[in-house]
Amino acid sequence: MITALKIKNLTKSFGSLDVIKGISLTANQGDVICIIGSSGSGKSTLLRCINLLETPDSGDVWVNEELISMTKNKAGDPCPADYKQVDRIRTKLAMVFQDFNLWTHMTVLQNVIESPIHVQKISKQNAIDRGYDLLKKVGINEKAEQYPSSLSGGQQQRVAIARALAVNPDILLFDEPTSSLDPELVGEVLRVMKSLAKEGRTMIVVTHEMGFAKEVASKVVFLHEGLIEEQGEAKEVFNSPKSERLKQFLASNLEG
Amino acid sequence: MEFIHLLSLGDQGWGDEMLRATMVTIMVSISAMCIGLFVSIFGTIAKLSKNRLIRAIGNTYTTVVRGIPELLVIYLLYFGFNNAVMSIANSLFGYNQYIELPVFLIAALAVGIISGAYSTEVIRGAFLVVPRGQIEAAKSVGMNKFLVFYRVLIPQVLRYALPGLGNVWQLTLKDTALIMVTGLVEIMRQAHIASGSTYSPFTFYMSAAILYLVLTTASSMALNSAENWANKGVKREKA
Amino acid sequence: MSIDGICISLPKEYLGLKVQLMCDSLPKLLLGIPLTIELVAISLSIGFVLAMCIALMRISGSRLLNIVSRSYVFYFRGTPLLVQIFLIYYGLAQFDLIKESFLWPFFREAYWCGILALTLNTGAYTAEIIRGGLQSVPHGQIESARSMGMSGILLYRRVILPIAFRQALPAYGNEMILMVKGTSLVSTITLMEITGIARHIIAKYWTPVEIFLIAGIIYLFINYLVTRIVRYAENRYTPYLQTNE
Ligand SMILES: Nc1ncnc2c1ncn2[C@@H]1O[C@H](COP(=O)(O)OP(=O)(O)OP(=O)(O)O)[C@@H](O)[C@H]1O
Ligand SMILES: [Mg+2]
Repeated sequence: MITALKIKNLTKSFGSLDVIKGISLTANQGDVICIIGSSGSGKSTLLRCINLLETPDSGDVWVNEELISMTKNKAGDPCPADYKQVDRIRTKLAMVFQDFNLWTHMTVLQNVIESPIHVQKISKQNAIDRGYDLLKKVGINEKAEQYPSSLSGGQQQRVAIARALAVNPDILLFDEPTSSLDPELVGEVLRVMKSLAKEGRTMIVVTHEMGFAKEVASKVVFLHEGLIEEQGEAKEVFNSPKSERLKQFLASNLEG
Repeated sequence: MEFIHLLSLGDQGWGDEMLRATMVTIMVSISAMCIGLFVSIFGTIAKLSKNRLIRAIGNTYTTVVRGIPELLVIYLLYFGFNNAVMSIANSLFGYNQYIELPVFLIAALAVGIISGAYSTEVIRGAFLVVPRGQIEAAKSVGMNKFLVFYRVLIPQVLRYALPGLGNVWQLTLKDTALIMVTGLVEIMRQAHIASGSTYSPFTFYMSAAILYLVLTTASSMALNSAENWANKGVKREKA
Repeated sequence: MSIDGICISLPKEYLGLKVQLMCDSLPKLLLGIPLTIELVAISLSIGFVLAMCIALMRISGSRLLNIVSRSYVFYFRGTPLLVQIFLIYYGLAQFDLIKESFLWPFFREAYWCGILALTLNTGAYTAEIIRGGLQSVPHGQIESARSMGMSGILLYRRVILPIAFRQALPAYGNEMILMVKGTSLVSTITLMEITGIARHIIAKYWTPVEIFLIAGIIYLFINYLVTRIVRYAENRYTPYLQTNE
């Protein structure tokens, strides 16, 4: 079996602030890895380092066993060696953001078909057909011609998921996809995510939804101050946490 | 009803001259706006540049042009261009007669350079308010720098910049009144000439004022509908 | 003047510019600063009061006052300042009625015509800035004040006006700079402020680029001071809206 994603000794700091202090992680195909941890522990930064929205200071990332090659720029800071490779790999690693980030100047459908047409050079008709299928899958095909600002948060996030799926990614990255939603809208997004997990997609999910993590995660990773404090199967981590910090974290986060 | 006679068309009145001058004002304004937009591309690139020297050049341009009275900028560019062309002609070709550059060109360039400083500020501002997430989302689906710029950044920047650029247009239109000092016969110059030879200054300056009002009002109506068009998707549509 | 002393060491010409002449004219141009500042100060102060009245007329609820204030703003923002100056200074003389009235000594003077035009102009722009500031006060802030029993003048004085003032400050700073620049236009009706003096010197020596360059630098300096003052006020009254750069 191919490992979908492998991270080795990743570090990242912002100025003097060390945010990721050396993290290694492996995801096999079909794994759903949930990353939990308190605010500021570096969850978003880790996720953004994987698709190079942040450039890691050191460490390696393999996607489908292909190493993302890094080098140093003139100033001596690390940077990608080959931006073409980065762009190509990013279509293997679609990301869903906390605040959706749908492009406001495009309709729902245009958001979904943008990258297939312009990055992957799929024919327009194919992209549109697939776009409608995906919108149907997330239950929002009736709004295809509307602009994102006329949709509710939950609807926008489902469109964002459809947009991520449209590039046919091997791995889906979710950064707290339900955190800026009203409580009554969280369910519809989680439902879509669960169905994706059932299809056997590889997903890395940063979340505060412990219920979701318990139900679908094949592995739960608890981050603390830029390091993996504890990891394991969902059952293990939730039912018999070993570290004191994880116990505290769970105690304060297990709302239901 | 003296003024009807004064403003009539044909040989007797000044109406046709005023209308022709209005066309000149419109042409200068449009040319200046275009020159300004062209300049502002470089101004914006300079002001957002990582290179300190280039950034300083961009900042100097906008600060100096916006901090000096428009009248002075026009004078300076008008005489400066003439002097520059004459000294170049002199040193390259040994030509030392007085050269007069086409006054329309200089007027459009002068107002264009003023207009460009304001456009630069507007466009730079628009770049800075495009939410980071819009760009990150584009990167996350594999768009390269060019696609991010062309498919996501530019449309959004234009939308954010449109109201500001509308203001710059109104400013440019009004600034063209100052180029009367270069002798170009636009609305203001024409009104000045006519009131000098008819002793009816109020009639002609008032006509000039009304012509400007018509121009600014028509533009603001056009700009409003342009904004509505560009804002589709931003305002909540009626369901 | 002592400034001449500095210039002795300077070249007579540099890049084709007559440096000596530029230095000589500097003190003369500086003599124009008081008039420029006077014009700005007077028209900004009267203009501000006028603008408050106009803004009040706009929200007064009276249809007539509303139309008057709208037309006023519409006219003065829709036409170039130069037209406004010419209309008052040259235009009004067309009417015998005005020439024979007690107002004539006033309208005959370029000084008063200049001040009147500048005042009316800034009044219109400032009225819009005030209106914009009032509109920018978030509804929630007004409601929370009401919920604590504030209303009427108290509500305006303690909540609405302070928020509006802080919001409008940057725009008003820009308006001040526009006024400094605007004063240069009264040189066209014979007033001897900085630009007027510059034109006077140029008429004599025909060195437009040199003299206007010096005059431009003086304006730049005045506007720099204005920006610093506005920045100081912003930092003082709006520490929560950071103003970098
Ligand atoms: N671009 C940046 N520049 C400087 N500091 C940053 C940047 N991005 C993140 N940080 C800092 O890095 C730390 C970790 O941030 P990160 O967003 O990864 O936390 P998180 O675990 O995702 O928290 P949350 O649950 O609140 O989203 C924080 O202290 C944050 O302030
Ligand atoms: Mg986060």
